Amino acid sequence: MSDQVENLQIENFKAFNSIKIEPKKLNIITGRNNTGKSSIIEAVDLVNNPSNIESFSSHGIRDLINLDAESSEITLNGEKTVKIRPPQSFEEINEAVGRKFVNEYQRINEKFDDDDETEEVSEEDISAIIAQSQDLSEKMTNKATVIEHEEEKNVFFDNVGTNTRRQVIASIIENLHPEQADEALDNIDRLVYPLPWNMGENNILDEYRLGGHHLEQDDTVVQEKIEKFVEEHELIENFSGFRDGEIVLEREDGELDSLPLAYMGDGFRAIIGLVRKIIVSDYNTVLVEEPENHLHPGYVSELVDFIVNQTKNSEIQFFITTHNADFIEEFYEERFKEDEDLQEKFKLFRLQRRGFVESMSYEESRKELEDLKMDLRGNK
Amino acid sequence: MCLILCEGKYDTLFLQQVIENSSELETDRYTGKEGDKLYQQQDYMESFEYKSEEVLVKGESGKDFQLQIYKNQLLDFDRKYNSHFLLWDLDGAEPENKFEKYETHLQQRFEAHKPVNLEMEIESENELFYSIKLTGQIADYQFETPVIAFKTNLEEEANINHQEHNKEQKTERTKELASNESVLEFFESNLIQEID
Repeated sequence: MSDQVENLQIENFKAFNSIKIEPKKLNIITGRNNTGKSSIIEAVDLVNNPSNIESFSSHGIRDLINLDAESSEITLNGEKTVKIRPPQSFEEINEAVGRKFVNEYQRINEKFDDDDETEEVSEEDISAIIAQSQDLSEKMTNKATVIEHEEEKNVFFDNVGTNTRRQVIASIIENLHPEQADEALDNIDRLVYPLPWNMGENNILDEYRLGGHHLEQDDTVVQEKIEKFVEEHELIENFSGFRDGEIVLEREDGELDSLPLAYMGDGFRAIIGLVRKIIVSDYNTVLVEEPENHLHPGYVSELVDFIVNQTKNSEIQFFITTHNADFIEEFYEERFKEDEDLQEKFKLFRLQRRGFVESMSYEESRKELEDLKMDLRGNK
Repeated sequence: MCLILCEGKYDTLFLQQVIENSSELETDRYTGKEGDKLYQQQDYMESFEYKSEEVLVKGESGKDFQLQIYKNQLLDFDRKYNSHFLLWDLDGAEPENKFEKYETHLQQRFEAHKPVNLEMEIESENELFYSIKLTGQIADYQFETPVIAFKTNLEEEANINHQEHNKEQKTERTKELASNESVLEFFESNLIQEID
């Protein structure tokens, strides 16, 4: 993502009717469950990466539109807008379903083709495929949602079941590759399962626990940065470094031991995973859901130091959701009391029932820390 | 339950005494609570001990706490209380000054829902008090907060000097003010009759 978010207008998106927030560099979004914390970072992600929409709703993409409205609109910095709406016509759906067929057809062609070069799908084939998709389009009418973004328009579908995909693929094979139909249909599951229709992957960091394979992928510079973080924050005793995807510890006698990362606790793998993700990504905007999960309180403190350091010394803008009072409290510890740079760049959003958003500066949220904690822990 | 938010300890005592002295509100189900940090308010609001009360007079530890709890609880007032009131000390300033402070704070707090509208109307006054109505709207949430404001403050009107008077003397002077006929009359017309 490239744009720093100076303001974000959200209209009829999930629980929000109409809000306009003006974030700073470090934005903590808190509130009880189901108050819309995730919706804010989803909105930021969506306006930058509209195709991520498929990963946002397990119930149905159209559910992202506020119940009282016909469509949703999210606008970033007053200029970049994404609009979510139901399709306006059957043709709009049919064309999109047809495109899905074309994609399947291309994929199947690749499987059938012995050559390395994939054949272009001809216009005739495309027309035939779209014509074939009419039946399915009718079934998909209530599953389609249109996303308009910078003069582009895309139609997305709620999860398409395996049986439907099997039908589509069987139909394509029988009609367009009749000579290979028997063999292909025998192996149809190999065609159905490898590539689901909905492949949306959002940029919200919610699964980043470090694994050995990550370290094996990383170049030396990244690995050195992570090692430096572990050493500076004294996350584990006798740490010597990473090697071949394993963690190396120095014994008292000076000998080195290697341990698979899987042997380390979830907390260690989570904090290092998050730090790594931020280091290796070139995001200017980092969206993180509940980063304190799995972390020991000592690690929470180290994580907050890292986030504060990145806020002050990098181009990264953070949007962090949490309902953990201890994580929030860490930002007001004595070591940040005189940190004007941090305080200037910090903003806390407390989400209330019915889609209300309260905005607080560092100083104001510090004053109300006890109330925030009570809100998160108590029965308000 | 009706919630009355005051600024300080003797305000709380004063209002409790006004309620006790009034013949307009025939209830003994009222209580005063003073001095807690604002976050503890939620605790006793929810607690069994106060659930059955008809009126809860809550004293905050100063003007800023009263404003903070007002901001924090505003969206919940309609859900938690049948009615709510504020007791202000204006300390000789114009009511508009206090109103502007409330307006600024609410606009900052709810900047995501611009425009936040707050209006003030002085409904009546006597020598000591104003009766004020604050009305406002944040997105689709409309609220109305009646306020009784000391033109000066309780200490001045009850002749309390915190340096010179001990606790008993302060309590006595506060009770004396609460039994003043014109004071009672003003509160009965502008607050007690409104308690729902």
